[in-house]
This record gives sequence, C-alpha cells and structure tokens, in this order.
Amino acid sequence: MMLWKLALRNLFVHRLKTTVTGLIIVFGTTLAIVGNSLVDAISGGMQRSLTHSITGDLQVYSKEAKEKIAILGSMDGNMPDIGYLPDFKKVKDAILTLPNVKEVIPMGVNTAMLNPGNLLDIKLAELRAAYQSKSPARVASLKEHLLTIVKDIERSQKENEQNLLGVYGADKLFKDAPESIATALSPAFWKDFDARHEEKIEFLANKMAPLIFDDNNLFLSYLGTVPELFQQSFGQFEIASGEMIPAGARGFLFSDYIYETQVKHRVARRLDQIKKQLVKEKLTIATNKEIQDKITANVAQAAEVYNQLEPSRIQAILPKLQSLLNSQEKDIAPLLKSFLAMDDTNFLERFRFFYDEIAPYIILYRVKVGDTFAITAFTKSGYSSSVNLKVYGTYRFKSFESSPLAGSVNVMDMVSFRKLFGFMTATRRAETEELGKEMGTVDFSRDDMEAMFGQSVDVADKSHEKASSLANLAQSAFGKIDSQRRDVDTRYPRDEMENGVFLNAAIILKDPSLTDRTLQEIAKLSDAQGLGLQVADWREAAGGIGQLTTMVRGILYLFVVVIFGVATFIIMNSMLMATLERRREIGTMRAIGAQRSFLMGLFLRETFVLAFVFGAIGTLIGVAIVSVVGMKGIPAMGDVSTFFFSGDRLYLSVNPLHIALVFIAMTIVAIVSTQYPAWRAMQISPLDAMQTSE
Amino acid sequence: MGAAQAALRVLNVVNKQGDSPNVDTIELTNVVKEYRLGKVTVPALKSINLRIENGEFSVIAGPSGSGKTTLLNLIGCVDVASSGDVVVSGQNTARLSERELTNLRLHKIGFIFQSFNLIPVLNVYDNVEFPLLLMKHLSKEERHSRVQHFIDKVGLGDHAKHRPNELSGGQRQRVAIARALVTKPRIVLADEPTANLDSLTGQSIIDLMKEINASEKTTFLFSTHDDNVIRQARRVIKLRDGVIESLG
Repeated sequence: MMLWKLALRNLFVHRLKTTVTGLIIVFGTTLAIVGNSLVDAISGGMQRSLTHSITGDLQVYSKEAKEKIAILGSMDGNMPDIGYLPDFKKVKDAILTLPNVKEVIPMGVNTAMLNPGNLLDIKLAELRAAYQSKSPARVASLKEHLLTIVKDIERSQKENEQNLLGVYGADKLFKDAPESIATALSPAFWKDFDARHEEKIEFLANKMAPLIFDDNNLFLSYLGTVPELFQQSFGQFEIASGEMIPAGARGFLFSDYIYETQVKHRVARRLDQIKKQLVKEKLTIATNKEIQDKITANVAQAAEVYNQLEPSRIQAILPKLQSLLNSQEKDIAPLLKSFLAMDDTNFLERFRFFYDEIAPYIILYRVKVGDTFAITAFTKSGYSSSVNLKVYGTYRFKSFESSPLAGSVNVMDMVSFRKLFGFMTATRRAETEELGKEMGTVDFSRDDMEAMFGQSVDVADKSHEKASSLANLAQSAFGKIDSQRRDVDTRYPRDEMENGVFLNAAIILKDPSLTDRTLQEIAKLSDAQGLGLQVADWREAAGGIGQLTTMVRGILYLFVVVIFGVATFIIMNSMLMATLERRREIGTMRAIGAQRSFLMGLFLRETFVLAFVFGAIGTLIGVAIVSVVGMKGIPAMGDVSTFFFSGDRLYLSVNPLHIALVFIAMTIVAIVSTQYPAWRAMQISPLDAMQTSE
Repeated sequence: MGAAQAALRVLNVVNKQGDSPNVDTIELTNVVKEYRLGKVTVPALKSINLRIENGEFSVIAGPSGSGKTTLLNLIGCVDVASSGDVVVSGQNTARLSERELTNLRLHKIGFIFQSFNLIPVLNVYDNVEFPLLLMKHLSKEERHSRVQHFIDKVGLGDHAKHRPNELSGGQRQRVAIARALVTKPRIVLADEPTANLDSLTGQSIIDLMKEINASEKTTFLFSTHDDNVIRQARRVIKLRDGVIESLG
C-alpha cells in the first residue's frame, strides 16, 4: 500500500511530466483501438465482398500449381499459372462429405481478346441486314454513311501517310490502299451497288475496313463457371441489364463495371465519369485538372461521335446543336467539338442533350446485350482458340457495384471456358472421334495429348487414342464444327457443364467462422484420397488485394509500435530524470534499509499507474469514437472503397481482443521503460543520503 | 528474494549477534578509509581504533574535513573501510553482502541526517512508518502502535497528517528522530543533527535524544562541531585529519 501511495504521490508531484507522457499514451491507445477497429471493419467488409462475390470462403486448386492462386490477379497484375484439376465430380463429391461445406463451384479464370469490329464492319453488317429486310430507305441512308466513312478513310490515309509508310510500308493492303479508296469513291462503284451489294460489301469489308486504324480490341478477364450455380451460391450477384445465362446454355455476361468503362463509347463514358465527379464528388471542371483532361480528350475524339452519325441524323441534329451553342456553324465537326468543350455552367444541360439527341444514334456499346460475338483466347498449349458466345447481359455485385475490384471479371459458362482454355469437352471429344473415323488416321501427336490432357481416364482408352490423333486438324476445324453443329443456343446437361477439367473451385461454407478448421479438413481429405488439392482461404485466393488488409494492419501496428516506443522512451527519460532528482530520497531509503528490489517495485508501480490510467483513458476515448462512428458509419468516398466497405458505409465495432492487446502493450511499455531508471536508482548508494554533509 | 527468505536472513543476523560476546557494541580496529580522486589517493581516516559500548551517548567532534561523517558512514554500514575491521552488533561489515548490510541497517541502526531527509511526498505518519514497512514481519496493529508511540514521544501527535513542507526545521528533525527510533535500533547515528536548527530548537532535539538514550538504552553517536552539543555528551571522540586526537 505504501508503495502504491508513494507511486501515486510521485506521479502527482511530477504532474507536468505525467500529463505529457499520459497524453502520448492516450493517443497511442486511442489510435490502436480505433485503427484496429477500422482495419477489422475493412477486413470484414472485404471478406464479405470477396466471399459473397467470387472467392467463396475457400478455394481449392492443384497441388502442383506453379504459382499461388490469385483470382483477382497477383500483385504484378498477371494471372498466375495454377495448373488444373482433371475431375470436378470427384473433388466435389469428396468435399461435400465434410459437414461444414455447403457448395462447391467449379471455376477457372483466364484472359481473352475480342474484336467486335470497327465502325465500317458494323455499318456493313447493318447494310446486309437492311438488304435482307428489304428496307430501301435504310439502305440509302447506310450507303450515304458508308461513303462518308470511306471519305474519312481517304482523309486519314493522306494525313498519316508518312507514319503509315514506316509501319505498314510492306503490307500489300496498304500498298493497294490508294487504288482501293479510289475505287470505293468512284461513282461507278456506287452506281450498281444495289444490284451487286454482296460483292460491294465484301470489297468494303476486305479492302476498306482494315484501313481503319483503331484500338477496337478488348482484352478481358473472364471467369468460367456454371452460371446458375454461381448465381445461387454468391448472394451479392445480380443481373444489371439483359438476362441471366439460361441454365445449361453457353453464354457470356459482362461485368457491369467493365461494360460501362471499357465497352461503352469512350466519349460517353468520359461524360459519365465527369458527371459522377461533378455531382457525387462535388468537383468542378474549372479546378480539376483530371476532369479538364477528360474534356480535352473528348474534344480531340469528337470524330468518333460524328463519324458514327448517319448523314440523315446529322442533318436532324445540326439545327438543335446550332441553337444550343448559339452558333451559325454548318459543319458538324467543329460544331460537335465546340459542344464537347463543356464547362461547369453547361455540363449537365449538354450531358442530357448528348444522351437524348446523340447517344441513341451512335454505337454506344461496342458489344450489345443480345449480340453473339467471337471471343479468342490462348489455350494452355499456346494456340489460339475462339468460340462464339451470346452476351446475355451484364451483372454486378450488390453494394459494391461501382467498385472496379470485384467487378474486374466477366462470367462465362464452363463448357466455353474449357474450350478456350484448351480442354477437351465431352461434346468435342465425340466430334473428334467422329472426324477421326471419317479420316481413318491413327497418328498420335503431342498436340493430341494436350488436347486430351484433361481427360486422364480417357487417355487410356484406345478409342480415344485414335480419336485424338486428329487434334491438329480438329483444332482448325473446331470453329467450323462449333458454328455448324453446335448452335449457341444448345443446352448442356448440368453434369456436362459442371464435370470435367477445372482450374479451381470455390467452396461456400455453412459456418464461415470455422473457415480455418474446414481448410485443414479439406487438406487432410485431399491427402487421404489423393485428390491433389491445395486449399487457400478467401484472403489468399483473392491475390494481392486479399493481402491488403494484412498490409494495412502491419502499417497500423508499425505506427502504434512507434508511438508506444516513443512513449516508452519518454517514460524512461522522465523516470530517469526523476531518479536523478530524487537521489537523496532514494539514498535515504537505502540508508534506512530499503533493498534494491523495493526500488524496482516502486518504479514499476509508478509506470504501471501511468500506463494503465492513461491507457484506460485512451481506450475509453477509442471505444467512444468507435461507438459513435460505428453507429453512423463512415461513408465510402470512392468506387474502390465500396468494395472494402462492402457497401456505401463502413460500420465499426469494438473488439475486446484489441482492448486486451492494448493492455498487454501497456504492460510491456511499463516494464521496459522502468528497467533502466530502476537500474540507475539501484546504483544509488546510501551515501547519497549524506550528500549535504561535509 | 522472497519475504520469507529475507525474514530468515534477518533472523540469521540477529542470531549471529546473539552468539557474539560483543552484542550491540561498535568496534573499529586499524580502520583506514581512503578515497581516490583521479590518480590521487586521499586518506579520510588513518588507522582508527575505537570501541563504543552499548547505551553510550557520544559525540564525534572535529573541524570540517576531519573525517566525522566518514567515520559515521563506516559505523552506519553505508560505506566500507579500505582496510581494518568495523564490527557493528557483532558483525564484521566487510564480510557482509550488500543485502545483509541493508538488513543490518534496517534492524540495528537508526539514522538522523543533517538535512532531515524525509520523504517529501509522505506525511509525518507515513514517514515514520516507512522503515517498519520495510521490515515486513510486523502486523498493522504493531506498526500503528509503534508509530503513534514515537510520534507522541517527539511531540508531534497533532501533526501526524502533515507533510514535511508543512513543518518547521525542528519539527522535521523530530520526525527524523521518530523514524530513526521506530525500528527500535540499538544504535542511532546522527550526522550534525542540529546544524540546520537554531540553538533553542537544537537544544530541544539534544534533550530529546538524551531522554530516549536514558529510557530506551539506545546507543547515540553523533557528529558535530557545535561546542554546546559537545559539552552535553558523556563521551567526546575528537578527530583531526582522519586521526583520533582523544577518546574522551
């Protein structure tokens, strides 16, 4: 009791030092409580975002994978090589025997390229359709538009002749370009267009369309899965536009985020972004360089708007634009450039005008919902493979729909995925067999093995050996076979969609709090049954993003450790000063009969009182902040944060473990900071009590 | 070391005394104390031979620098001799560990300092109780009765809750005396106990010490160069330049 009394009174006597040290401790503990709560909430939000959207609670993939799984891409932005697993059914049946497993969903992530065709391609397709539907007015309008486009090609060729010569000088198409353009612009070419429209369209498609140099290729990440199973298993998934891929059908769903930010006409999407920045983020064009750059880019690319407008539409828009801009200009090009040079006063009015008067008449999305397009990917063995897929719609994940993180992948059926990845599907195997019988060849090549590598059981089957001998031929023929025999509307039985080769599988748990335990159980099961699996929790499976909270927490801990380190140093310094000031008092205690251990006890009590009283104050402040902010929630400031918050607001809560950790940290601070001053105090001799004597 | 072991050591020290024929006497034989100041060795005490019997009321007198405080420090076990034997209560201090020396100070010696050396953050009662708490084996009741007894004895019964800074110099020295006596030591060492007091107060302090010497049979040994104090001592040990001039 005496020691406590002494400790308290010493702290009180040196109250300035006590207050300064105490404030540092209060700051450190408050930061530790609030910071940890924040990181916990973000981690929880991210866990919800990831586990309910794409990763599931756990992911399994091949034990022999060359790299670690990273569904959303690794830190370097690449898709890691995670190998493959041959038999989904076997894995699913085994894992479903575990009591905590709710569902197993086959998956695979890959990247592909698609080229929806340039403006001329699209207009030629529309012209074909117009001829088929026998609409002379539409044909006339389109022909007029095509002539404008050819004229634009001529102008572009002349303007860029020197540059193009350097790059494409040896290309026959380029060499022939002046002659081809002259042909396409000649009255003779258009005179008998209707009579020989197939031939003319073919000429324009082959000779003119390739002369349009644009960056029309789309590079996409896609997730192969069983779409309806994916929809059932991931609660955050919802269709944003169009419809869900029907059960058993092959098809494609764009991520709404990608559809709006990559597939959409670039002038339109810049306008969307600017509107969001002005309305939601309260920025202004006048003060924000980034928005000004977007405006400049839109003006520079005005041609991408007016080139897409058919002449008849231009005539209709011109007076409206002249009126809006209060201009007498009759040429659409300068008028549209002037229109796109928007500022804070006219942006919203022009934004509405764009969507009302212009957008419906341009190619607003390069691929439209309902279109069927060819998607090309490189297979595992390096050759390219294409499939035709219908875009059924776009999807998003509820509550973080605008975040680019989880919305970075598009969805595709598993059958198409296997084909694009180079896996043999049951249907393709049957087709290969049929083709093999017809050709009667029995060669066995390395490519055959690759084409068959997914079907390890079947490779042993002699009939498949024979069938697989035609892989080279089959590869070149598959596109044709697919287009001829396998209609995009074909429905596949669930078994065929689901079973077979897969890259990874998401596992949804009944009780996600037992994730670690189930992870261990799956690993054991895999070893026992030779499934060849390795298991990753959602954090690891997500890749670089999954590690982000660990990193943030690491930085927070570093910060807290630095603050506590500073507190330790200041306490130590303050104690040391006090020790030196109290030399005679300590010497007197020693002379009277106080052992050294008594002094250590005294010093420890002082620091404990300091650390715990102020630690408790800091904790209370931290808990109060977390409670108040926790109830209101922190609003998400940007698109990315909606992913981390798993919604528009982040709600905080106090974790008792953090309070315990803070107190453990305070104990360490108290003990560490006491050691040196106490050691110095113990060196004080009882002789110091006599210091005022002779 | 635990409290039980500490108590055991205390008992050992007490037992050793019990075995010795020189219980509660102080005996110095050929004691030399030198201090090193850089490369120079300064002799503070030169071959001191001295015996102080139990219950003496003695003064070490001498001018400043004669070695009075050094002699008190050696007897008070707060310093050790460079050579020679210092035997306090039958214990040769040179052979005791740091811990044993501390225990000896706690149980056998009381200190009264020139500057009182009270613990500023504790009140009168707590200052007096402080050494009893270090003894550990005393009950709360025992501590209370002892503290109250000695506070009353030094005439500060009404000032028990006062802090040192609320007391006069004389009152502070009375607290120091009560603190020195509360452990019932056999020897009380006082270093210039009246130096910071006026003559009247100083005399009252000397009177108090004489009274306690008579009633408690406690050995009092104090250093001073105050002739008035020297005159009242039963024995005067005169020191000059580290050598005993006379043993009185």
